Order: sequence, then C-alpha cells, then structure tokens
Amino acid sequence: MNSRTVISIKNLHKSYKNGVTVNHVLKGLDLDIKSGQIIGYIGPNGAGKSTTVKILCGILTDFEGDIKVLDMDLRTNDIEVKKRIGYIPENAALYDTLTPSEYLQFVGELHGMEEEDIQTKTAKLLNLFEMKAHANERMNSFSKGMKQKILIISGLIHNPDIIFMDEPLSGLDANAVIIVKRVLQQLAREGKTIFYSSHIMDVVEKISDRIILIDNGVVLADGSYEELNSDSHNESLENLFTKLTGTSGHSETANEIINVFEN
Amino acid sequence: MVNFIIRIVRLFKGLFTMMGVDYHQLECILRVKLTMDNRRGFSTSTKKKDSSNQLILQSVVYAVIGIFIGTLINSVGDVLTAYTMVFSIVMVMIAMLMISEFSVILIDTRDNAILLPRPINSRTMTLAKILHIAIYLLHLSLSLSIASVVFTVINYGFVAGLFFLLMIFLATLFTLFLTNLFYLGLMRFVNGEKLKDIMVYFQIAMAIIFMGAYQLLPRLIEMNDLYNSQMKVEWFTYLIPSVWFSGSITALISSVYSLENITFLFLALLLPLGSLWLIIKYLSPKFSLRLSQMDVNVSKPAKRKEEKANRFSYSNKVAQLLTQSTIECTSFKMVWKMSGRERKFKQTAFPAFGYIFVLIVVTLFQVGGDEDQFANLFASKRYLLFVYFSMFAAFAVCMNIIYSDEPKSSWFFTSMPISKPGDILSGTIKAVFAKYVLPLYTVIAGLILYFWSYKTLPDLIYAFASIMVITSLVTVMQSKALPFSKERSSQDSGNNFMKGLLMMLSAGLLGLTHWGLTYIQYGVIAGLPIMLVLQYLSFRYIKHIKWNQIED
Repeated sequence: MNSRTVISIKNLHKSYKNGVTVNHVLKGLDLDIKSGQIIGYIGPNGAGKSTTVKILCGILTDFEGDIKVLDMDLRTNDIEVKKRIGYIPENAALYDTLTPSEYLQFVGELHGMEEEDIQTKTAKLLNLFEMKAHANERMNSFSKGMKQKILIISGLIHNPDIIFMDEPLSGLDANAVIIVKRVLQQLAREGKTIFYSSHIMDVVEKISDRIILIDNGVVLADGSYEELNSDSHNESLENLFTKLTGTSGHSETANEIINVFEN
Repeated sequence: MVNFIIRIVRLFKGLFTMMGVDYHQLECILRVKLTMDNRRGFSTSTKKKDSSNQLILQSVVYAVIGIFIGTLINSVGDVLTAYTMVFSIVMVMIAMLMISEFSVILIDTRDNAILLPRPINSRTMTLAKILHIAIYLLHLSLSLSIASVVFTVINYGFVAGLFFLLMIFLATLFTLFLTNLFYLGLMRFVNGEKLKDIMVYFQIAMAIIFMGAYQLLPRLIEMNDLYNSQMKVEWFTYLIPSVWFSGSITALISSVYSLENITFLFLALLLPLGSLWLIIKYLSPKFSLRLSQMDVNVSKPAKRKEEKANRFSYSNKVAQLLTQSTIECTSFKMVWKMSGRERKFKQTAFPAFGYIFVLIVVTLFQVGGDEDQFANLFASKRYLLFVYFSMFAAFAVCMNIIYSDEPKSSWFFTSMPISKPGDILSGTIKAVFAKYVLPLYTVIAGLILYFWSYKTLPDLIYAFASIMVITSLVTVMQSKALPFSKERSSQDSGNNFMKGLLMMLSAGLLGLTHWGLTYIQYGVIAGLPIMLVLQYLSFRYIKHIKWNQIED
C-alpha cells in the first residue's frame, strides 16, 4: 500500500495565558505523518503531547502555524477534517448520566451515521468489548475501564481515517488491552493512521511504526524504534526516553529515596 | 418534558436551517443536554438523585416561590413600585440560580472532549448552546413568574398579562447578558477549579437567600408601609434594569405615555435585543474559547503556595493546643485542611451559618423598631435563644464532615496501624469546632456581651460546653463514620428527618435546662463544672470507640 502524508504540521506554536503568566507549550513543532502507520507520541509530563492532539482534533483553535490533515487546511476545513478523524481522550470524558447505547447513538448521529447502522455497530461493538449486559445502564456507576471501553468504541464507531488516542489503555483489563492493540495494528494495516500518545513505553515500543519524542514543545527524536536504537545496543524505549530527555540518574534518585525511608 | 420541548424547537426547523444550522445535529445535542438536565438533582440538594423528572420538579418548586413574588403586585399600591420589586426579585433570582444551578452544565469541560472533535459547524454549536441556556432560563423565569402573570391578568386584564410575559422574556434576556459578562470576567482571572469554588459560594448564598426570603417575606408583606411605599423617578432610576420593564408595564396599565414611560419602554426593548446580538456575535464565541482552555493545567504562582503553607502552620499550632495524641492531632490537621476544600461539604454545611443570622434577624423583626421593646429584649434572657441557634451550625459541620464526593480516598485510615479509631473521630470533632463553630460562637457571644452585659459570660461558657457535649455525642451516636468516608448519596431522607428531630429536641432540652438554671442563684456557675466534666466524659467515650463500631 502506498503511504501518503496525512498530517503535516509546520512551525506550530501554542501558549496558554493564566492571568499575567504565559506558558509556551509548543515552540515551533514540525511533523509529517504518513498513512497506515501507528505513531507513538511520547514525552514527559507537560511536554505538549495532549496540546498537540487537542489542536489536531480541533479542540484548541487558537494556535500559530500551518496544519494540514488529509490534505485539508485545519483552520478552514475543520468540519471536513473532523468527519474523518476519531478521538479517544485521556480522561474518561463521557456524559455519564446517559447509558452506553444513548451515548453511542448520540456520537453516531453527530457523525451523520444512519440510525440502523449506529444500532447494529453499537450492539456488535458492545458485545465484543463485553459490555452488552451494561448497554442500558447509566454510566455514572461504571468503573474506569468500562468507561474507557465506551470511549474507544465512540472514537471508532464512524470508521475514521485517522485515530487520535491519548492514553487509550488506561484502566483496561489485560484482555481488553490485547484486543485494542490488535485492533490498532489491523487498522494500520488497512491504511488508517493511529496517533498514539502515551506514557506506557513498552506498549509504544511494541506497537509503534514510528516514535516521536517531544520535550519542552520541540521534537527531540523521530524515527522507528530500530532507528532510535541504532546508536545504542538493544536499549529499551524507557532507557532511550531517559537518555534523550536528559533525565538520567534514576538509580541515584532511587537510592536516595531508600535512604530517606531507612534513616 | 424533553420531548415536549423538542417538539416546540422543531417548529423553528426551517428558520434554523436557513441560518446555516445543521438541524439534525442541533436537535441531537439539545435532546442529550435536556435529558442530562432531567437526570440531575438540584444543586441545593445533597443527593445525587438519578430520578428522571427533575425539570418538572424544579418548575413546581420555583412556581411556589413565585407565588410569594406575585403577591407583591397586590401588596404594593403603586404599580411602578410593585412591578419594580417583582422584576428585581425575578432578575436577581434568575442570575443567582443560573450561576448556582446552571454553572455545572455551562462550565462542563467534558464538552471539549465530546463535542469539539465532532464535525459540528460553529453556528450549530453556538445555537445549541444558546438554545439550551434559553430553554433553561425560560423554564426558570416562567416558573418564577407564572403566579405574577395570573395576578396581573386578574388585576389588569389579559393584554397586561401578555405584555408582562413579554417583559419577563426581555428581562431574562438581559439577565443572561449580565451573567455572561460576569462569567467572562471571572474566567479571565481564575482557572477552572477556582471558578467552581466561587460557584459553590454562590450556591451557599442562594440557600441563605431562600431561607431568608422564606422567613422574612411573609413578615414584610404584613407591613402596612409596604402598601403605601412609592418609588420616585430620579436620573439614576434609568440605570436600574428592572425599572425599564416595570416602567413599560406601568405605561400600559395606566395608559400614561409620558416621556418618562416611553424612555423606559425604549430601554426595555432596545437593550435586551442589543444584548442578544452581543451575546451571539461576541460573548458566546469568547466563552467557548475560554471554556476550551479551562481543563488545561497551568502552574500557580509560588506566592500562593507560600501563603497556604503559613496557614497550615497556624492549624498545626491549634492542633497541638487542643489534641492529646498523635493520631488525634493528625486527624485534626487533615480535617482542618480538607474541610476548607471539599466543595460538597461547604455547600451543605455552610448555609447553616447564614441561617443563624437569618433566625436572629427574624427574632429582632418580631421585636420591631420600638425602643421600649428593645430595652425589654436586652433585659430578658432572649440571648439564650441566640446562643443555642449556633447549635444548628455545630450539627451541620459535624454531620456533614463524614461525607465526600470521593469517599474511596479514605482508604488510608483503615490501612494505617491505628488501634483507636476513636482518636480520629475526636480529632475530627475538635477540628470542625475549632475552625467553624468557635469563630461563629465568638461573634454571637461578642454581640451578646456588648448588648446585654459581661454578666452573661458564665452563660456563654456554659452554653458552649453544653453545645459541644451534645453535638459530639449525637454525632457519633448517629453515625460512627470516619471523616470524608461516606458517599453523599448514601444519606437517606428518613435518617435525615430523625437526625433533624433529634437535633431540635436536644437543642430545646439544652436551652430549657440552661434557662431553668438561670432561675436558681449561682445555678449556671454551679452547672459549669458539671458540664465540663460531661465534656471530658463525652470525649473519653468517643476516644474509646473501636474499629468494630466504625461504619463502613
């Protein structure tokens, strides 16, 4: 399958104001993302990962720079872009006084899906994620993992071309994690692009075709795991992350912590 | 109710489509938002009710409150004054209710993750938000003013009733504009969490205003002066929004179209419509933009953290002074700190503090403005009544301290090697007394010492000791639960009723005993050591509570 550029980011800047304080989160980010890839988007807390995802999904609109998604300018064609993307947010943001069936019906309708199509897909997906028994219960009593399953279904139900995921596996049980990972790999094989932002390095290492490491609003490293590892000798992504973000000395810190306990 | 509202909205489908709105998406968003409104409880309610008729229930409650407002039309002789009062109350109530009841929905950052990534155009999104707010506000204002409409129709005819409805609609619109400005102003200076804190204080103020209005309005209406009161139109009267609307309806009722009345009519029509244009064009998009950035964490300035650290050291000192064991001291400090941050605790416990002052004002109202009667009051033992009012606050803080929105966080109590959980309970009670009851009591006692005399001092000490004994005992007898360890929805009405009854009975019994003692020479002074011994024994009892007695 021929890969084409589906996301193009040029000189992206974003800052937040809180009273007189200005926090520069993204400082001239440049990225080109090809179709059919799983992109592992990693970085320390406050690096700008969630902000990038929120901009690409059209949640944050006041940014500087140029962004093209599926060859469309995000500023001028945001609706067309949103029709073809799916977003699975970091926090379990759901209208939890609704039931899963009501919520998925709502999301499907907003994406212009036919009612019958929504109902068929909802029933099948809830069954596959072992949520069929809870289809008509209000979600405010659900566990974090159950809510996460609904979020994943709601991000995929309209069959988007690009899927943005912010810590999608948090709270899921082992079986659900394996299923979601397989689903993502299968979707990528079908030409869909997965933009996967996470802190869980071993998952990113295993499923990503390309890993982008950002820190302090700029790209520190970009390439496949093998490329990033070319200068090292079979180092884990966790160790590479530590090296690249310049936060070495974990063993010393660990020893100091133990000393605090023991003295 | 939701289907009924949607059917009305559907009548405007053609208009909305012409405006470039995706009607299907609009209806879809409105239906979901209204369904959620219908499933949520009152903000003044302590329960997380999941019943599905909240909108109808709210309408009934506000309609009953509206009857009190509507009676002003007949209770005040001058039409302009009467309607100015009605519009002022309705507008203030709409603004306060919108801030207290609707903020949760309006400042719902979940919309950022759920609605913003969907292919919804800005017109549909803006109209959905405005319609949702408009439906809520209209439901609110119509419920509040339905009685006033009836009074207007009875007094001045059907046309006046219709015109009053139009004015209520415009007044609601203008209130929406002012509230929107208020929100935008706040959002400019405070982040999401602080904003939610401010809203809690509005909810507390609302609860106190409702209580105050319930107690004071009937007494106000009985006053003859109110019927004869007349408002003079000065230059600044034109700056008061409620007068624009009352002036307009006065013009229609009296058929006097003076320059003054025409100006009011002009202002009443022009400014609300102009404000609607401003809302759609500027305020709503600006609001959405600020909302989209609200769940982003931006670090706070260091100065604030320093201030909080100092406050913490103050609580440390008080804790060391009032507690005896390490566990009791730790529990004291934790409760001191957390109670100031738990929004639900503040929302349910703090109104009681306001109620006390309402009760004091109501009692003074009964005395009236007569100097002789005031002299009689200060010669009487009525101060005992004021002193025992503070027991309501003591009960409110003690009984609500066990509830939390995140009760699971209390796991650490059971995971710690604590042999005597009674120490946690005694530390908790001491903390809420020291932080909340003592300052309130000091204010009341100070006023009593000033207005009565220093001779009341033994009474004041005795009363504080007895309030502490009974409140702490009743609290632990009612529920031996650890602080912030129970879910608020676990409260049940029957239990609450029993608690209230027990509280009233014990307050009455204590007050009567104290009153009786004042008739015995040195009775109170003799009773004081007994009460202090009882206080020691009550804390001894609490400290000896064992793990098997603690509620899950």
